[in-house]
Amino acid sequence: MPQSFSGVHSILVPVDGSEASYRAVAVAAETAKRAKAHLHLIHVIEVPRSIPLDAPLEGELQRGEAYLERAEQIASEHGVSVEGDLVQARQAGHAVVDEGVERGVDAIILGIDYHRPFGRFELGRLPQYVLEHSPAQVWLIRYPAPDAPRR
Amino acid sequence: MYIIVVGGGNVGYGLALELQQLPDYEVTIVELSGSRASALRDELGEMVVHGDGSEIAFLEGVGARRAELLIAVTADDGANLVTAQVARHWFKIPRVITRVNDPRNEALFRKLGVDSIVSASDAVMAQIEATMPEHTLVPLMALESAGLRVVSMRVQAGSTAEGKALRDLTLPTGVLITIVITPDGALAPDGSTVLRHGDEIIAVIPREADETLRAMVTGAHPDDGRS
Repeated sequence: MPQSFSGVHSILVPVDGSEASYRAVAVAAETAKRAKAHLHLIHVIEVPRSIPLDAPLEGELQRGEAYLERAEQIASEHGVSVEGDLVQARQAGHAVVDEGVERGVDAIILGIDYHRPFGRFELGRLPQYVLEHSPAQVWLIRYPAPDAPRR
Repeated sequence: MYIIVVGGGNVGYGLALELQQLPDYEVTIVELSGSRASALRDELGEMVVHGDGSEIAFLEGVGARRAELLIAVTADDGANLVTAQVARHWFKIPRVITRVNDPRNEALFRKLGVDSIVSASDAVMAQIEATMPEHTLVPLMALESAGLRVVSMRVQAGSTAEGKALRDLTLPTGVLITIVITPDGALAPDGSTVLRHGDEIIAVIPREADETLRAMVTGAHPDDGRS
């Protein structure tokens, strides 16, 4: 973890219910505590274009609430009080970048899984988009795959 | 209102810029070229989708079943025609507007039931005719499904219509004169309305009435020009 957090006053972490995203929350909370920065959490519900953007999606909303509750709990265990936001959007990457811009965050911290869908590592659509388009710093947290051999 | 614009060229891009500023409008732009779609997305955000707007499965995915308007404005008439047909007959989208790039394809589009056609050459011609209105009939809007057009004409000195009340004119069948614009303002005419030199007439007319009406109002010989 970096020892210096100069310039980081506000951090955004997208939470998608994956262990990787919760680990990112833990890192972000620890960073926020040390840097005395604000922490924001967001869960994006991707809405297919076949239905209106503001369509009521009860199942997804409940799932999203549960993801955020767990993320808030993790942040709280690191001494940071935070409330997450649920957002409906067509593409999660756009929503995360837009939220970051709107909140004026200095860093977006992403937890990514170790994806090798076709035998090659893939970053994933959301990290790819955020890395390319976010005006803020982007931190990627990738832990080893659960079945990775220990050295 | 949900609108799908197929074609992210200059026309589609311009439309998107206008439409996204209107409240209560949701717009999706479909662009076939990946690089163009990416460039548009950088500017317009998630309203831009990369894909083939003439494919049923793709249109289904971008919500064609709930669209109230589809506008096909690619540079490819064939693609526009297929998109319009799919939109109209498969997805039953209530309103479909199609761009025709090559004027020779207009008749085909009409024959295949495309109800609203925008022809770049017609639009330019209308602008040209509006600037030299002596003997012209300026098409303002096509109502293709009814075989009608909304046109504008200016009453010329010495024409059959000048100085006559509407009831005294033998208008071609199906012609409906809806507005007369005089130096005092616009009025909804009735049979007693007398047409004066310089008055502008807005009328709904069947296509076949063009020449007769133009001759009556502007004094032009039926073979003088086009409309």
